[in-house]
Amino acid sequence: MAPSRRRGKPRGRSPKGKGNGAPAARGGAATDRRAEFESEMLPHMPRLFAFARRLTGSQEQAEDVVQETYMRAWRFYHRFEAGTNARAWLFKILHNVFLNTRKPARLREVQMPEDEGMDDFLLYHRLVHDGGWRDPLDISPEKFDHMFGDEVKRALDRLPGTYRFPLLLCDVEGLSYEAIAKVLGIPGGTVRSRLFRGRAILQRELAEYARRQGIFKPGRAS
Amino acid sequence: MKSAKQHCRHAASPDCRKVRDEVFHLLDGRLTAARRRAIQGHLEACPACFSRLEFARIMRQVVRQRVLAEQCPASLVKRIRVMIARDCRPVRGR
Repeated sequence: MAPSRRRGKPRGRSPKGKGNGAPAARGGAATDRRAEFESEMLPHMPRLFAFARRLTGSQEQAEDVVQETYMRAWRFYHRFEAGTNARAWLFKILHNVFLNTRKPARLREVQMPEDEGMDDFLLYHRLVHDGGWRDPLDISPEKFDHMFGDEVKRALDRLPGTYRFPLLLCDVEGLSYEAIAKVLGIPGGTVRSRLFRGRAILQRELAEYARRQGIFKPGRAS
Repeated sequence: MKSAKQHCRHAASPDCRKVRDEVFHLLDGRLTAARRRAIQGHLEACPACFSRLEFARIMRQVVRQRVLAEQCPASLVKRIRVMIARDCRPVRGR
């Protein structure tokens, strides 16, 4: 179901008042609405696709999810408030579309780990202590990327959705905790704890990859 | 310049522990202006904490670059434009 955004001035409601403004508009009005929708919503498509690609793990499913997202966004465009965050609105729809396409069994996949013992600087500590980083200030994005390459994407794909969604919305999309809470329909405090755990698990996965690759010194890696 | 392990041994300070708990909140824009100024002051004087901030910033940057490197297919953009023009009737085929 598309999110309802009833506050503020709605976009061009259907003349017949059926609540579905897009199909009822005709002629020049329809063309204007379509042009407005396209200029406001379509520029976000590359970001939505990249997000969907990491959510679904599949090119084909990502395309289906993005197509359905835009279908719903167009259908419910009359509910979108001018001047509000179009990207967050689209992500909210995309999240709902994604949840609706999943099999119920997969919704139970997540077991919440305890915060105790989790370390959102685990990878840093391992690289400094066991990985021979003599000067951690010397790290650069290029070195980090060279070290881990596509493993970053694979580690993200292995991250349970409960942690992957907020992590992507925060670290990739730069949404505020409040916006993430609205998109995911969870309290702000839960966003914070899921981000902490997601970052800790991601670093654990990358540290394990570094151990397998022999980046850590023999005999010191756990 | 201190070695990495000297940086890490410097971690015992209570100030450092507080700052390190808030590094991600700083990057996430969650701190008040006053707290942000206090942490930035600490980071200027503490290479150990500053290196953690840099690590967190770089890790976020690499994740972002890798995720956004996925190219949205031109065929999808075209399909969605056609779909909108047809008032949401799905377009078959890729």
